[in-house]
Amino acid sequence: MKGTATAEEAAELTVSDLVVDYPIGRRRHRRAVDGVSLSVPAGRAVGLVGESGSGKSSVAKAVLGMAPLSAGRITYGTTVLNDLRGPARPQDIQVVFQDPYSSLDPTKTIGYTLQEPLRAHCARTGRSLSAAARDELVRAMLAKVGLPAGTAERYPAQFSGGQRQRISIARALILQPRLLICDEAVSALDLSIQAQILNLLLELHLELGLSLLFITHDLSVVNHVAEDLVVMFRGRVMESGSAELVYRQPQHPYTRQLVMSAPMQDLEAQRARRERREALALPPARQAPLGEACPFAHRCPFAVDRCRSERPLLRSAPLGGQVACHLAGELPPWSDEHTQPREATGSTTSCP
Amino acid sequence: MGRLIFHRAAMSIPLLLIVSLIIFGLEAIVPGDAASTILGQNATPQSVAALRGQLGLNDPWVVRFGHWLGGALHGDLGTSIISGVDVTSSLNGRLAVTLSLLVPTILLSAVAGVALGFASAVRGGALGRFIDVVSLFGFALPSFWVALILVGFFAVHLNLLPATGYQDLAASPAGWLKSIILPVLALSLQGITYVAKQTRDTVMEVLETDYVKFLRANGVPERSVRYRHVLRNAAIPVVTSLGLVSVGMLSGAVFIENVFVLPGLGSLATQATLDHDIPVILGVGVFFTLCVIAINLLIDFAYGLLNPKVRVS
Repeated sequence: MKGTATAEEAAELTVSDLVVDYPIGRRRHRRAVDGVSLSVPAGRAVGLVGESGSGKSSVAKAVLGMAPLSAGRITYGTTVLNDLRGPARPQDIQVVFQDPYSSLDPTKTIGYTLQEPLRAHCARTGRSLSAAARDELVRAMLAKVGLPAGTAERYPAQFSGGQRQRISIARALILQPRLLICDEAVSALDLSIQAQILNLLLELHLELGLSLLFITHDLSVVNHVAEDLVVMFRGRVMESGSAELVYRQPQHPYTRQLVMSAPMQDLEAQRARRERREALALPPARQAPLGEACPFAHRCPFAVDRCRSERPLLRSAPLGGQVACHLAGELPPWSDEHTQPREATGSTTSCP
Repeated sequence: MGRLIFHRAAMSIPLLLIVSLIIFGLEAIVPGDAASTILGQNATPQSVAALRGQLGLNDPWVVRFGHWLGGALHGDLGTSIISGVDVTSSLNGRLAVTLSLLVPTILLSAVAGVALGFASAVRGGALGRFIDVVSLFGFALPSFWVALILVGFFAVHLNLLPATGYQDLAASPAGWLKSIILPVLALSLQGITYVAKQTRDTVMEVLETDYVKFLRANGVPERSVRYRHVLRNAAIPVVTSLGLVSVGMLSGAVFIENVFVLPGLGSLATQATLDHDIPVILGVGVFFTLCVIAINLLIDFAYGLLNPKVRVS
């Protein structure tokens, strides 16, 4: 079957000690990513979570060659991606963006939009593909994402946000990539549409062995898709590990806050959770710590002096995974009855 | 499209009526009338009053306006009170001059404005900032002032181009070109700078969209990204701004024709206003209103071509 490939073809994406600085004004910079390392093994789904401004999208941009790298190394298999731009980049890595309205050219038909990467690819590789073959591929991709064949002749304005996101996924898949980066790919959608798109991505992940780097601010969304989780805060990795572990047994105070801030269906549970969260909350600090301190120290209910003077490094955590906290293992045990490990239920159908 | 034209044509009737009423009303408020213009400063009040009666200026304004409107509806815009020349034929005689000024000005604004704005947005950096600042300055300068500076430099100082006057295109193409260069430059400065600013802003916006990022990340040739996608998507706001600028140029032409002593519709309107020559003023007013309607219709056509959303619905 076309488009079906085994996971062996895919390669591992590795990001090591990545630093991204954005220029602000003439000589000043803002550090968006501060020494992040993570990897997406072939065929694996990795979630990258954090609040807005945590640098998670900058990591995605760096991988896609759209952000300035100050330091670090990004490799895909044996290829170093650091300075590769445009045509030189491996087509194995594709992206689905957040905004379904800005990600499709409103003046082009869907068919044209889907064929364009194909044509550029053919022009680059000298491979020739007849118009009929291209049309056929477009139809196959549209079918794969659950859109009717007539879609190709129509314009983006005729589609809803969810449909456009399907089109974006089809466009990303048309070059048969091995790794799909979803940068907040469902954040702009309604809850029910979110679930549909997540299920589609999950299907593609399982069926095609597609690796996923799933970037979101919403832990409950990523928990639905990801096998591994990386939690970022202010440009640094706070915690990483298997999704089950990080979500059910968060070991970093920041991850705990993130888990507790996710909205819940049950109003009573939501209220209880909010009370617990508020009991732990600190008065808002005006100044976030600078330099050699834990970036979370000003918001952490457990912070001690050491947290304000020494930057915690990512190290193996007592329960598994990795955590960047001086107090890892010394914190009170996590108890949240709603995220406790539970028997395997049909979790793929549940949605926030 | 047929429906659009019909709709616009239907809308233009009340618009023309209101515009001519306003012109008529303004003229009635302004002190002085055609009778005192004809008789000059030394006329006796008695002779002025007699001529007023003769010209029908003493009739109630409703009667006078109704009289003009009745003629206008039959395509007869009346005759000049001062010269007795048929208004339609004097409009015809001066149209070529005004079009010689407006058409090159609009074309130059479109081409130079889009080119500068696009270059500024795509290149960015020092060139981008330079174009940005220059266009801000250019837009702030009044066209008649620019005209005087241009005349001072190119006509008086360098003696390269005539300071005033107009030569017919059919009689002498080179003379025509020389006679319109300075007026067109003066009048198009605001158009170029406005269109350039609009183009720059829109292109920068489109360059930030995710589809441009996607195309670049996938190695689609930069030329295709710029011209097929960015310029194409920036076209709609740019065409809108060009339409606005073109409408503004109609009034700019009145100033420029006076500075360069071009015998066009603008100078006709100025003279007629000074003379209180109501039929001529109304004639020019109606003609300019028709121009505005036509420009808007052209913009609507352009939207239809550029925007698939309009085409679909």
